Amino acid sequence: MTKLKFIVCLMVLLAITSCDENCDDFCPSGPLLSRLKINLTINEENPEVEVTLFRGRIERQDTVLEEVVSELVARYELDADGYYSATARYKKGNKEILAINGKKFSLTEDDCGCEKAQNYSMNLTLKD
Amino acid sequence: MIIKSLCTVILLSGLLFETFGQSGDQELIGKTKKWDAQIAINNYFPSEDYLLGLNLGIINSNRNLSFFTEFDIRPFKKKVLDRQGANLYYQLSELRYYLGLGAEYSIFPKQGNFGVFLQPSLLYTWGEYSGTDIDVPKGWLVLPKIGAVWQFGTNGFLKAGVAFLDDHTERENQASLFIQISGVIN
Repeated sequence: MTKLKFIVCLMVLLAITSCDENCDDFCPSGPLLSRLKINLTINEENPEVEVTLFRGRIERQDTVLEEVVSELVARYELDADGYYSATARYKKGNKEILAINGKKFSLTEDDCGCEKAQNYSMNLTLKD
Repeated sequence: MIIKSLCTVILLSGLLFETFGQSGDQELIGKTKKWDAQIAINNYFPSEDYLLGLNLGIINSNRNLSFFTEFDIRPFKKKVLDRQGANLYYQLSELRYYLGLGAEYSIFPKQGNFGVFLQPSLLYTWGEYSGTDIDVPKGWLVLPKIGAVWQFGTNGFLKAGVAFLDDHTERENQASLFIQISGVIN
């Protein structure tokens, strides 16, 4: 029974991978950009939030951009390869809270074997 | 990708089904087999501290004593606060892992498939914060688990109980709901 399942799966995989994808001879040139979505907390105490994006971890201080955001979601386009980190500065009572998160961006391949950028999201919402 | 995943799941489930399914038909002739391999999947709740884990080990022929290695991860990042100054806090996204050894003893009444179990583990925990090089608290911990066990078939076990997890991280409650499904591989 297991052998039969294995053979069926193998046949399905072969059928899929052998399809003609109508690929061009060359992959598209130009920089590959990933879309990054950052989720934020916007409330009475924090009607706008200071967001900073870094290439690498925050200790490297390699700032990509810094801006004040007043929406729940901030969207950016970044080079599609490498590690990025981000911070969002909040107030909570008499505390100042710096939310930190990071993500490794990597390339993937499309059906024609060309490199493709991926989209990512990062959660910088304030802890309840 | 989805088809590949489906195929893998079908193959694995087929293998598991055949492994567990045939166990009832097996007879040991000549000599007694004392220990069998066992595999288990662990779940720890509540959701903000959800842990998913895998145990691999051995279980005796009476099916009431086992020894295993345990590996658990928190698959979702958890927000923890780290004080940096008088009023400044870092809110960090923590990933956490656990690896160690454990044992389990179960007591079943003479008739019936329900019993109780005690399962202590000695684990090492470590992790990382996303986006920063700040070190995550790490170290050894004892993880006792106690609860009820239901034996289904000859080689399947479903356990539910309480785990007491003091794991060097920010945690509102050390008591976690523990659910484990395990099976013997003959």
